[in-house]
Order: sequence, then C-alpha cells, then structure tokens
Amino acid sequence: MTTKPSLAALAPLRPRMFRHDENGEPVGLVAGRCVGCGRVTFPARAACSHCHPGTPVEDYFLSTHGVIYAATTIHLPSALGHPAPYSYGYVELTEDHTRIFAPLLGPKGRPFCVGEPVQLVFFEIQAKAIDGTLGYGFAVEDNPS
Amino acid sequence: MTHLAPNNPFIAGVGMTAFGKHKNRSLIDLGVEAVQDAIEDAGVIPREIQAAYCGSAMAALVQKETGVGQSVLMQLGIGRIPVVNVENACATGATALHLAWRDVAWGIHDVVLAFGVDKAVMPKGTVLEAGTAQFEAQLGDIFPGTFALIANRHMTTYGTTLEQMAQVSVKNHDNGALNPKAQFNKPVTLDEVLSSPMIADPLTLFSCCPNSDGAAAAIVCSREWMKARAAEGIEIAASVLASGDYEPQRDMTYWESELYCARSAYAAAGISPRDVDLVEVHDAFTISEIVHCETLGFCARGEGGAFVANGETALTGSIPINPSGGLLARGHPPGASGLAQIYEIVQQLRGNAGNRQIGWAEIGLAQIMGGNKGNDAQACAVHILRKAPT
Repeated sequence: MTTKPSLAALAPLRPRMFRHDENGEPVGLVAGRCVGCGRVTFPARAACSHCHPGTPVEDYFLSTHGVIYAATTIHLPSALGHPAPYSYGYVELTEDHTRIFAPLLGPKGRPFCVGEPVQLVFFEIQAKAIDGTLGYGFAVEDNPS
Repeated sequence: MTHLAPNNPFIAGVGMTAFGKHKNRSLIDLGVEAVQDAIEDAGVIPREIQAAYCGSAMAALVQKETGVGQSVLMQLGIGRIPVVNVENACATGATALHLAWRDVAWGIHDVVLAFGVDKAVMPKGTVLEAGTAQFEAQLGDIFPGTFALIANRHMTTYGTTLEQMAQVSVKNHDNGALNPKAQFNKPVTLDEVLSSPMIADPLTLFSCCPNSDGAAAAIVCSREWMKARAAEGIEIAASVLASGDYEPQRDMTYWESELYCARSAYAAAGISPRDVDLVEVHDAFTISEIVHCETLGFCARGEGGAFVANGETALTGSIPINPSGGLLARGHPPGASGLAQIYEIVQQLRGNAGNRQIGWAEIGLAQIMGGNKGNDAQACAVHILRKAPT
C-alpha cells in the first residue's frame, strides 16, 4: 500500500472551504445550507436568496460522490499558469440537491462524459501564480487519482 | 421594479473608432476619437452635455489607468459636469448607456454622453488576467471554458452540432468583411473554423472573439431636445440591465438573466420578437449566439443551431443577427462593445450601413452580457431602439 503525500501544510483555496481530519488532511468540502429551505450553495453564501432575511445558513458537508453535468478540456495555459491540457466542469451532487464547479481528473486523453460518476479528490493546485494552494476536484471513479 | 420610462430618450448621435490593434494609440486618444465622432454626428455643442458615463472594463487592470472618463473629456474641453466611470465586464458599454438612459428618462438631464473604451490586445503569448481572484479561475476556469460548458450542455440536450456552431463564425466573418470598422475583414470557411486550434473543447480559436482595442460612444437626449432639431429620431424604447439569479441547479443551456432582460425589454417597448428587424448580440463565442437566438425569442429553445445553419440570421435572412460582424469579427474591446452594437443599429435604422445594409429597418435590439458567476451572467443588458417621430 502506498501512502499519499500529506496535503496538511497547503493553504486552503478559501477559508472554511475544506473539512479536515485530526491530522489536518482534507476529507471533505464545506458548503452552506439554509436552515429555512435546505438549499445548499458552495462555496457557502452569506444568506439564502429564497428565505426571510436573517435565516441562518449553516455549515454543510457535501457528499463526496457526484456525476458530471458538463465538462470541457482546456488546451492553452491559463493566466495563472495551469498547464494545458486540463479539464473542468460542473458536478451534480444529487444527494445534496446542488451542483458545483470542479476540476475533473482522469487518465490523460480520456474524454469526460455527461452523466459519468466521479468522486472527490484533493491536490495541490498546479498553477505557478498560486503555488502551495490546496484545491479540490472530482476524478472518474474507475481511476481515482 | 419598473422598466417603463416616464419619457423615452432618443439617441442623438453615435461614434466609434475602427476596432482592432491600435498599438501606437493611447486609450485616451481612442476615447477622444469616438466621443468627437458622436458629438459631430449628434450636432451637439460640447457644453450642452450635462453628464457623462465612461465604460472601461480593462483600463485599471491592463493600463493601470483610472478616471478614464475625465481624462478623455478634459482633452475635449468638457469639464465641471458629473462624470462616472463604469465597469461591468463585457456589458460595460451597455451599462454606461443604461445609466445615461436613466438620467434622461427620469428628467434629470437633457443630454448625456455614454462612451466606452478599452485596449485589450495583449502581447503575444500573454493572457488577460481579468477575474483571476475568483476561486473558479484559481481552479483553472477561463472565459472560453465557461462557454464550452454551455456548448457541451447544448449539444447533449438538443443535439446542436459543431458545424452549426461554426456557422455562426462563418456568417459573422462574412458580415465583418462588409464593415470597414471591423477588426477582421476576411471571410472564413466552415472548415477553417472547425480546424483552427482547439481552445476549450468544443470551441476552437475561430469560435472565440478576439481581445481588441477600440472605443464607441452615443449621445442620449430627451425627446424635447431632439424635437427642436428633427421631426424623427431613434428612440430608446427599452433599456434593461440585470444581474444573475445564481441558482446552482438551473439548466445551463441558457442564461436566466438574459431571459429576464428580454421579457422586460419587450414588455417595456410594447413589442414581440416578431417586430424586431435586426439584432446585435454578445457572440463572444459561437455557442452564445445560438443561445441568444433562442432566449430572445427568434426561435424555439433548442432550435438555435438549425436556425443559424438555415441562414435565418444572415444579412438576407428573416432576422439578421450581428450585421456588424459581432464580437467575433468586429472585435471586442469589452468597454466599448455594447456601444458599438448601438452604433451598428443606428446606422442600420438610418439606412447608412453601406454594403451590409439589411434593407428597411424600424426596430433593432442589442443584447450583451458580462462576467460569469454561480451559473449565470453577472450582468446582462438589452436595449431596443426604434425609429420614432419626435
């Protein structure tokens, strides 16, 4: 069994975006859930757009499995220096009744399909301008990276 | 909220520079040219201008220049009046126009200048850094990618094809070839669009608009001011600006903000999509124009690809879209594009559009949008212009 490199020392992409275990390793994503109507937004918003002002939005741990809603592969490096090619899209988290933006990971050159099951992974963001940052993504389930 | 103006303002005059690469000209210089052009076109004396809105989406970021509006107007000897600098991503120019419309519609001023300017051409090998502080961008999101995802959903849901999307670029380059102010004056073939380098799958290089340098301007005036000068003019029959709904699970094959703007604008103008003679839309990427055809009501949801491929949106089609060449061929300085759309519609309504004149036209619609957040555009604007007696 191989041990994964530790991600505990990385700076989180956003404060309060990640849930960590006792060793500081990321284990989940923290969204916001409206106490009034149950709507889930990620990252958490300050208030629910559907409910009475002042209705609290509580921390909510997103499920770690979803399906691809939309996907694209980018063929030129980003302004921040993400090396091409790389992929991202939106992942439908059926259990949470929400959909989130996410990098998509899988074997090189393999296209991502709408409806395909994916699972949450964590990694150091590969972009020169924001070195040492903890990011998240979703990997195809037949080959989690 | 009302979108009904107590008094519909008029467009007294418009101006614009050529769009493209203006390596040896400053931002201020471009702004001056467009404003001077509009002042001459309107026949307005500079001291009659009572307020001004200047749009620039990139100046603070790229040129490190702030207060662009005041700097341009100082060159033209226009001081003292309130000048507000506006930033609303790609909808910046349309936002400046909307603010001028408000001032005149509610009787605060009689003559207001709206202009927009940007120099967005980047040195070879560098990319615009707009919006890179957003978490999505830090995870790799770039503008073409956002639209690629919409294309992905549109293809999956409705069977829209690569060829249908590429046809938007072919048609807009054909129109751009007839527009002396357009950045690209050369037609492209379907094959050239499809085989150009892949940017964000399925969008290729020629499926994406360029970053451009340029400026555009419009002078908005009251009916009374217009009446003293002409028996007929171009009325702003509707001006609607909205932000997104940011619903995480909304159908991504359209923008809710655009649907809202379209419905509100048609209602304010008292018209339906069938009454519109020509349209300028935000074709930053080919898929966008297909979605706009649907959302603005020119064809049914899901049928935009076939609608474009059948030639309905060509200069000779049932509803010409982007006769100017659109963002894809005219070019896209984000601060100016919304006003360049107005420039084109005014030329068409006046019958002054030269080789790309669509024939007799009474009503034109301009749609533009900017930014992307939480599954919707951050800003969307729809303007309806109509020939009307003063």
